[in-house]
Amino acid sequence: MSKLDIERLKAIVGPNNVKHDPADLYVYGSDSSVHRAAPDAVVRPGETSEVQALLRYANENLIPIIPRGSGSGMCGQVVPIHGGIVLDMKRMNRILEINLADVYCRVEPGVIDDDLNKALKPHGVFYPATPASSRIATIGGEIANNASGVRSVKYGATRESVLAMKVVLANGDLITLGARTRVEATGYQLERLFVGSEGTLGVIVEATLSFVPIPTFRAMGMVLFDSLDDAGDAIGAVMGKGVALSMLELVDSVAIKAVNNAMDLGLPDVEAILLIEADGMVKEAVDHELEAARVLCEKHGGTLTQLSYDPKERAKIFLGRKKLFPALSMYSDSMVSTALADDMAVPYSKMAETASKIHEIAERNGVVMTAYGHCGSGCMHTKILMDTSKKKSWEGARQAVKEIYEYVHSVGGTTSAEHGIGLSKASAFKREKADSIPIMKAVKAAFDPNNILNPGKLFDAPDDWVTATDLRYVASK
Amino acid sequence: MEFERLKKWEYKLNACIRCGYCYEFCPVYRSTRWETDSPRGKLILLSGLLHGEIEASDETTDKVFSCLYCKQCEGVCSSGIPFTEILSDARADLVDLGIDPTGTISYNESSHCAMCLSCVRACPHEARVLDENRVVIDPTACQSCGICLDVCPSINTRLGKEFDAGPEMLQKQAVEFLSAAEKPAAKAIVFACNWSNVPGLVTSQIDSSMQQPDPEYKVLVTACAGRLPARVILSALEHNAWGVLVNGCPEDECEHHGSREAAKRVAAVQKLLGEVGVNPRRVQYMELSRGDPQTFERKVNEFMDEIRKLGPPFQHGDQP
Repeated sequence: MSKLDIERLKAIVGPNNVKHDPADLYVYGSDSSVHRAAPDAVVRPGETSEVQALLRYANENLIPIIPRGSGSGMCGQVVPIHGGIVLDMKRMNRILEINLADVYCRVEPGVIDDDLNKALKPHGVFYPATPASSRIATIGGEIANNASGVRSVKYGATRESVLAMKVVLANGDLITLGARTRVEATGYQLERLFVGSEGTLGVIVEATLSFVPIPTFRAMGMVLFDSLDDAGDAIGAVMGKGVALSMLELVDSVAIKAVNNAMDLGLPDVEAILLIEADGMVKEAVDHELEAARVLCEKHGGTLTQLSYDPKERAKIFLGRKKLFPALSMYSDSMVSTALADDMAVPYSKMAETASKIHEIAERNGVVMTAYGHCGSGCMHTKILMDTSKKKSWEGARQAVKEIYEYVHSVGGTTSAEHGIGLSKASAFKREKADSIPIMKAVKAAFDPNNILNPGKLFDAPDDWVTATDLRYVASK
Repeated sequence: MEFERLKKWEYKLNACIRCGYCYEFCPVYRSTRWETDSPRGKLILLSGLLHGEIEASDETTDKVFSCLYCKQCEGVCSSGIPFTEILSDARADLVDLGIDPTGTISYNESSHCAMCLSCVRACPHEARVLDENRVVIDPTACQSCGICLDVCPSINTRLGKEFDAGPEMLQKQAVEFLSAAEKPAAKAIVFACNWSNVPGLVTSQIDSSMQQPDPEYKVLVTACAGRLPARVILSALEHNAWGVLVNGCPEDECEHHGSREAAKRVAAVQKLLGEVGVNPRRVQYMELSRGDPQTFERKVNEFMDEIRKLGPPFQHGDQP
């Protein structure tokens, strides 16, 4: 890598859009993961032509380029492990077109998910692939990670909503992928290749996204179970019968206790809760799906409570799930919630067993873990709660993560459902995808022969996530 | 020991899950759009300072001393981080190290001080004190509320940085909005107190080629309603605003005595308008508790309904 020419960067994007003092570099070396590694400069392009000029410069001088949205990723995707230039894409934040007749919108990568939905709402439509971080997450970041959220059971992940995109390649060329039409069978689906590519193949400068009508009716209820296994069986039964829910969330007993301890929300003291929701344009259709779910859940020992169409009541029911993530960060004054082993996906029939396994592995390794997630999509979330100042905690976490992924892979699950790989899941990813990694490397080399785009991630990330970078925490004891 | 006060917050610094929900609620971040200026960015910096990973350079300390203490970030924090308490302790540690604070801290522009002590009496945080026949500022106590700005008869008090929340910038933004109006429509400015209200969190831009309804009013966030000078309100009217609405906290909730000042100032402007034949109802003051966007929107809509009925200012019939 050549020495950075800061003046050249300023000439491309303007002097007010370049930072290179240690304070800024330190902050832009972090995201929501456990990792940190400082870049050499932070640059904010405002136009596609600026992105092209930056990439031409970086490619000629073999300087790493790390595209960044809001830095809310949990696996270290935007942590510049080899230094280089962080491209803060939040300046490219224009909603370019909302085309109702052709059912698409065009946006720049720095548009915030919630902003897009605010712009779509007056037209009676919404962009559905919304993750929990939608108030801060950028569309570019969501595409790069194939993000999804609580309603993915019905509306799918980001990949289901991406029709086309414009991308700047490592050499500065601008290419268009996909088409604005609902269907396309015109060669390789390269726009799909960029979904989940974590900034390693090119820089997304525009995305064409589909949207769906805002449902007229939406109802939610809470199903209580005295056994986690029963809840797991109910999930399999509901999904197996094709019940069309818009949300099916699992909250286990550890998670229930965490929320009640931290925020006193008064969640029922049971072994497991399933939150079920259905939506649609006709009330009878919503009722039909929820009734089908109720019958199947009751067959497996569940009791449906608090079913409501009222938005305030629904918000109240969902509050426990919504507050779970922050509640975990307030679990105890000696434990910190770390984003590790945070989003595996497993077959529906293995949801309950996975939850039990997570608790068993956590206990064996001296850390605390909970299990919750979008089980209607097979997504199981967890966090590792531990005393981050103790080296022993990190040894326990390393072993727990290893054992969890061994189990997940053994039951046909996958390493990441919606948060991506980055640094902290690279080892598990490499084990899971061992036979296809040579092909992935060849694809990467075709797009980015000099390996300047987010190098050191995915298959090129170090095997040991604990030592891959400095950690954001200091383990001194 | 360096950073002795900050050390006690180590757990909280670790507990921040770095979700970034604080970004859009921070007036400093909204102004610069650099993550280093956000509360999350500052917590990362403090963690770096505490662990010796970065130095207490001019750039770093400038960030630590740049905060308007609106505490909006604390209200939305996923992890319950007491951001301003941590920041205050870090500031005290840095002052102990002998750094010269900059950032948003108030200062006297020149040494020509009449020693009237108006600023000392007005400061709600006891940050301005008389010391050996001169007014000195305690940078660890100053919360950059700006109450001292309008009480100085010599216009000598300043904040180091305003981050788009200073009177000059507000006036400029108001005039730009009012001047851009091509169609005849009710136009108004709503000055919203950052402590009680952070409206309109939309940060993305709608492309100008898309047909969007012409907005009738613009919400401009002032760091504290109490520091909004009358000249800024009058400037909006001079540039054809049909009305100006000033939003402050309820008096018992204001941490800077700003509501009282704002109410007095609006009343004075109303009196002046009445005297020159302009309906005083064109300028109104409303109080609003923190975190109530629905009431904010309702009250703004009520104000706009009233302003539309009044029609353009300085027209025949616009009598008190």
